[in-house]
Amino acid sequence: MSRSSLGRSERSKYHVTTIDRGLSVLSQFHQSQPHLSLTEIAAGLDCAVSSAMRILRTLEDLGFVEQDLESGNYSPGLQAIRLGYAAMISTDLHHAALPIMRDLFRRTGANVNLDVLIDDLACRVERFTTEDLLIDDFRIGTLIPAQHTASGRALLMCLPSAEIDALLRNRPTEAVGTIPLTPALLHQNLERDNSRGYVFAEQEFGLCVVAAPIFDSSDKTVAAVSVGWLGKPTSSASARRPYVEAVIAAAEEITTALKQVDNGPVE
Amino acid sequence: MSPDKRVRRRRKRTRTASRLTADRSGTMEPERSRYHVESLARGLAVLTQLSLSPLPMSIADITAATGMNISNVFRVLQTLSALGIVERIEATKTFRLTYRSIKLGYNAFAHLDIADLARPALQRLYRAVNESVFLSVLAVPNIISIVRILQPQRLHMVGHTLPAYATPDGKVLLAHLDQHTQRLHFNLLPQTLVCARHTLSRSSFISQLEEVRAQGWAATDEELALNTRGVAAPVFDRDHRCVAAVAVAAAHDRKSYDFMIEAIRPKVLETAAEISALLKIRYETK
Repeated sequence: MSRSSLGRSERSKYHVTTIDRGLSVLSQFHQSQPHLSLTEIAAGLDCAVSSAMRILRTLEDLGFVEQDLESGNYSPGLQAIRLGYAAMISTDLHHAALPIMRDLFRRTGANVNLDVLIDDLACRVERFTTEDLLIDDFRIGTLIPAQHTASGRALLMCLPSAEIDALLRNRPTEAVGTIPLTPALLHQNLERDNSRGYVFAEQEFGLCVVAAPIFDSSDKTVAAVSVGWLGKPTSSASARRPYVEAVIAAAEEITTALKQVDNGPVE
Repeated sequence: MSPDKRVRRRRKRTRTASRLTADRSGTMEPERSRYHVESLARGLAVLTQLSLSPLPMSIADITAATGMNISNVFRVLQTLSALGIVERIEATKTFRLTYRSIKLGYNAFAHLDIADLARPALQRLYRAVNESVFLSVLAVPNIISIVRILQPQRLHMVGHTLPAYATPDGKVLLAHLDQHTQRLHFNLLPQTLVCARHTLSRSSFISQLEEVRAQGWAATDEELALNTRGVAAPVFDRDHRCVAAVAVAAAHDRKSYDFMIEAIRPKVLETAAEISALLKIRYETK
């Protein structure tokens, strides 16, 4: 997994292998595994412990990993964490979406989220949360297989089906709740979502979510905005209509704002 | 490596949040350890610059900021682009970090609790002062230590929960509460507070807290127990709320009060600032 874990791997003659390896170490840390031992890191890199050690020392010297002195385990350092943070907050998408999301949060009183697609994962990059809706514990920075959440499906639904297949190729079919999500069923769901322009899903603990895609100036899906609220079991379509309308309107507003940034003069 | 060298290297690695930005901002310093991989370090220096810049950077910007030569910058950018961590904006010929960089640490960090993410900084503080270090939160009328690194030779008068008013971290936490919550908590305090060496009235304690809030730290001198003194500083989250306090406690025969204030207090403040810097880039419920 090590080398390819960051995705693309076309090598140019300029490729610096040690950078590749250093970043492979960092990408081994993830939400369910924030601490790693030297042995685990070396195994993930498929290299000798001594080579892993050299890379770790360099990462540590520059603040990209921290070592816990009691356990000897490593975790991401401030400089590594800052990369993701900088990527999230400095985008045009973030600037365009923030005021519209805040407004949506105020009007609906529901959780409001913004997700982007990273490979086959939906990543939460902004959210507004009410205290009593903390059951929706998808913190900012959380990565979830896209087909498993409403926002993830909103990110996928406008993609050509060949692209969806390519994205999800490496993922075994996993059950969502009690329903096994076969590729055929997923495509069927995505087609239905696409035709109505939004995704609706009932998730755990009665959390209802409506999500809609956001597009850039070349009409590519760049993000999904969603709201989550506590609904009654099997809540009727009419109960969710106000949320659906609000989310679709917000997605369109963000799309428009984003296109203005793309086309308009930047100061 | 000789033990001596190891100590020196560790000491070298002890640094503060503010120095992180200054020192690590990319200029290629001489070797830090014999394990240093120079080509990786160049890649990390470019990434650091990109994360510090509010705007996408051109090759010239990056060259100037890192002090690296242009062909190295070019190679690094090629590699980072191929890995999908950095993207080039065609219109402006500039580079920026992509969302994929969330996978390089932020994702794991988002799921660490405050004790976990603070621990490395607290361990550095422990190494620097060689006295017990605590990270505590308020559970009125007590404080609870969520991280404790105990100096083996000190006299123990420490439980997981201690009365807030007699501890430096407790004072810091009480002093930074919002006024409404503060008033609620003050009403729960007895009229007279009993400390190890003296008693004080509730009103004089409250004015002491105002001082603590203004100066940004608190100290105790044999208040909890006759043989301990301590100093503490607040940790803030991104909304400037004080969510925890860092404290160092020492036995009276190991460290004088003056030494606590002059030598240890600045280190406690540095550590608290370092942990605050981490919390600042973390989103929580708004």
